[in-house]
Amino acid sequence: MKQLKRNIILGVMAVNIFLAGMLFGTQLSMSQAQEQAQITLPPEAQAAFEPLFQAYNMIDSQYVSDVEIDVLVDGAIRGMVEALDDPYSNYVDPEFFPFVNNDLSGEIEGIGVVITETEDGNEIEIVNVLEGTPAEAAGLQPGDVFVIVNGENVYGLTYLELAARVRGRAGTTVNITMRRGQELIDFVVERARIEIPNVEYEILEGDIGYISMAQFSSLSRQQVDEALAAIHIDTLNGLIFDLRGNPGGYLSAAVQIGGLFLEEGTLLIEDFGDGTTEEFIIRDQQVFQVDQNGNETLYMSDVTPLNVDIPIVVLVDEFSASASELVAGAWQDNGVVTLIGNTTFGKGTVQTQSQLINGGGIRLTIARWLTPNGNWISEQGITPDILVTLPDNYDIEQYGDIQLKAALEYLMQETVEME
Amino acid sequence: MYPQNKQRQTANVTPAQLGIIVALVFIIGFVLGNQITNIQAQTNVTLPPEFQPLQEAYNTIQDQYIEDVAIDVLVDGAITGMVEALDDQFSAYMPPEIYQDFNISMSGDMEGIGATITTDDETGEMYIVDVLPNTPAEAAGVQPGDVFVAVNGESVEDWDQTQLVTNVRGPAGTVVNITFRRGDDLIELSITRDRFEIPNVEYEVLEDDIGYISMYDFSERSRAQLDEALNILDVNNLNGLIFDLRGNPGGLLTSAIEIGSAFIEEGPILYERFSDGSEITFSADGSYAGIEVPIVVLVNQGSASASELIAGALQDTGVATIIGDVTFGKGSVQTVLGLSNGGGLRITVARWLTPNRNSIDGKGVVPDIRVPIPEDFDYQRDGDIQLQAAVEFLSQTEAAID
Repeated sequence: MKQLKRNIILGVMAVNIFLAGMLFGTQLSMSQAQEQAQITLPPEAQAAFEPLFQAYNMIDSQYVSDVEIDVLVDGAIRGMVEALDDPYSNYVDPEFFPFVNNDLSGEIEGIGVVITETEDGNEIEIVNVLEGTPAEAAGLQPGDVFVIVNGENVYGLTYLELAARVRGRAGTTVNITMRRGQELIDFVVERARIEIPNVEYEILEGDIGYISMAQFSSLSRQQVDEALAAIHIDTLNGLIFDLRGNPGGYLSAAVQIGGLFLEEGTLLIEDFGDGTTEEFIIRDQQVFQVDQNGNETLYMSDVTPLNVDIPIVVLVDEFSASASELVAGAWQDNGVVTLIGNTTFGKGTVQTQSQLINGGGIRLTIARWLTPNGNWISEQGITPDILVTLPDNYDIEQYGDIQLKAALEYLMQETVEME
Repeated sequence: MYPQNKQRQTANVTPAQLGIIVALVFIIGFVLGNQITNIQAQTNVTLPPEFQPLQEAYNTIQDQYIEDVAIDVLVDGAITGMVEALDDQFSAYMPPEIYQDFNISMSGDMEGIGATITTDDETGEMYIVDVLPNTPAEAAGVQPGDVFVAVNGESVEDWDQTQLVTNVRGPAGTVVNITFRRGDDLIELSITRDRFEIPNVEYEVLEDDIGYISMYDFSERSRAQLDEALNILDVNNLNGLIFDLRGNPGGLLTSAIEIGSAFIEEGPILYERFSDGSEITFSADGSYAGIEVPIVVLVNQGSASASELIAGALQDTGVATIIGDVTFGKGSVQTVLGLSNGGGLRITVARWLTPNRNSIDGKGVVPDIRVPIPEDFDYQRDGDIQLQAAVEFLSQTEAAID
């Protein structure tokens, strides 16, 4: 039982930083941009952009073939964002932007595979095929590498660009050529609505509750509340909250989940790199943003705490990233939970997503976030209170989940001491 | 004697040389049409409204991105991305630091250490393919096969070939410290950079009084060097001429026409066809060299662009017999524009057709006598079989004439 679930999570986690490993801040819309009738460069930038204009004019007048201007504009924006040299900032063109945005809604329309970029970054492979999905029915397998999607060679595409091409409305089909070993295999897959597994729960031995969460979506807090009610948390001796393999999600979802175990105190500090900061403080079931000058604004209300006095263990591992690290750091610094597992991934930045007037969109890293104690966990991750690492090539099916066992043992002792 | 013992065995395609040929095709493997123009004075350039999303993206980055980014970096990125969107391997944007090097290499003179390099496709390692004679690299003992490990104390692991070249090159008189891996050893060499001439035309007389001239690219000096070689060989008193364009990746269109005019007395050498359907005919310029002996042109997969233009023209006009392997297959013309930031843009502006109006793009020139290199070819054992075929052909032709 448990093992099976862990496998799924392991699959989803391999996607980690790539598919959904973002901490999304505010979602910006196009309204702001559209209000301006004419978008122009600031005067100081106009001279610097002259070479681009020259290059465009030359291509327009002399290039041997006709090229759509939109293709050139997309290329220019993509190149400009790539020049930031930040793996978390990228551009998605108008054709595909509508499809990239729904990873975190809890549901997507697609084929039901979890993907990752290969080590050299030029190819995308399947790391997991979700159960009961079109991908499983079609016979796609983990390790299959995408070669052609609907007639287009996908070598060199980012995971976002590939995902956007594979996804589409339920009922439509996508033609995919995969490489499996030395073979090329053609698949025709009919897309369907895919529910992304998120919160799972059960009651373990010793009346210890167990809840795992696969990502931070807008539904997460509600699903966790439902899980807490279903296991009757008020009758239990302890709770294990499993964030292993959880790659992150929305900042707002992290704040909602953070407030579950932290009734009062600082959740995080956002640092925008230009001297401005926002400290997120929770009190009286409300979350406030306090800027560097002490100005306070309400960020969110009705953030209710758990209100059950039992010991809590949060499980993390090297694939717990972004929003997972944010809540783990907030709880650890405030001393409200015990962290057990492996050192976390180490992604300490916040992204935002903006739609441009052409319908394309850019994701940009806009801030660092710091834990309440002011630590930036980028690259170093969060070190658990009790470090339990799995040996290399550890076979969890054969030897069992030693991190979960350690959490159970810890809670049994706590419970005994409390009694 | 075949020229097997020459210092540079460029006439012989060995696997290693195939590596460099591929590299060269991408570095300078194009026919440059119009001479380089530089935009100097700025007329008020404005972008069409379709570029507003780009400006919006720029404003968003400046407004929100966590780091300050130099505007030049963003502009370089935008131009690179726009040119990549053409999906044409022969069109490219060269940022200012790269464009300077490009200008240097087209002039035929270079300051550096005098070695050619390539990247191993599988390992990504960059290594020496060839050490040019009378250069600092040769004096310091650099050898083909040496793998770059570090340059001036910096690991080259994350560099691409362009970054490596940029770091190794430099003004004459300055020193570059390079760590190479040779076998299992690490070797550190301090090399004083110098100015040297990129070798272009080499020549000699082979057995049976057959003249041999090889040309490595098409530069401004090529025709003068060809004329000098023809004079010194006294070609019309020999029994034949082998003109070796194997591994020659191309160069300037003007140079190709000058070279073509040496072999073709009159008539078209090529047609250029532009995107609007218009054509320009380039004919022999009247500088015919008057070669009266049978001519063989040697080509292979590394003969690209201007080399194919010459091979195609000499084949269509019946001036020479083409021997070797099918050529690279690049039938387009590029032009280079210097931009106001000191960078340069190279774009494909036309396709060219042979005198019989054939486009060799994607196909290559098929030799009259095909001599492909077999898979189990061993140069040490088998020698230069394409050159041997050329010599045999000319010896027979000569016998037939006698």
